[in-house]
Amino acid sequence: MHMHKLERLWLMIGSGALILFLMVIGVNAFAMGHTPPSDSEILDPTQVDLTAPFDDPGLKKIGENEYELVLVAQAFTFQSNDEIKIPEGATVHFKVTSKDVVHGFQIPKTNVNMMITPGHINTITHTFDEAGQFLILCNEYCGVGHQAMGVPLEVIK
Amino acid sequence: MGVLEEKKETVRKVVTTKEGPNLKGTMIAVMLLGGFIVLSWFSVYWLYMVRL
Repeated sequence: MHMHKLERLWLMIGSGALILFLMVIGVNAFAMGHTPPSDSEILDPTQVDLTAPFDDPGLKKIGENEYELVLVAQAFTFQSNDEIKIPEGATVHFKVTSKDVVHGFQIPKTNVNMMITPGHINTITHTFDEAGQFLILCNEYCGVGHQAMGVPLEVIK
Repeated sequence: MGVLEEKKETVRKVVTTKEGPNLKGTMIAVMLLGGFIVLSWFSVYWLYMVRL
């Protein structure tokens, strides 16, 4: 079959890009263990208040400058028994679930951005290198009070 | 009649051209688009890295 040399070049670039992307995904998933910002841990969404660790949501120190922040998302807030104040440079493991509908979980100006699905324990980790005021907000329309759904997070020096 | 025959002749000339299509402009256009896409990928990657 006759093929124009530019067409052949174009197909080679396209196929090469496809092979490259599949390799990047493969290396990411199997060699580096990257996963989406949630895992397959599940719980009964009607029993959230009785299920550890969501029976006592809040900030817990789990190591040297390392914290676990457990939050329960529900229309229209993120429940926490503690004020969310963490020291500069701390690594925070967020553990969030929803009592009702799908919510969003985003901290602008960081890479923290995930969906909070009821029945699942959604986790993401971030290190706060700079002090300042942050806002945890819902970015998934969840009802009439969606725009008010946010809690402050303060990183102190 | 004469005019019709002339038209047929013109059509035949175009169809029997042996040169392949000129795809240089097409190639430049898709490469410019590809360049823009690659640039936007790297922009997003850069944004991800500075926010890490």
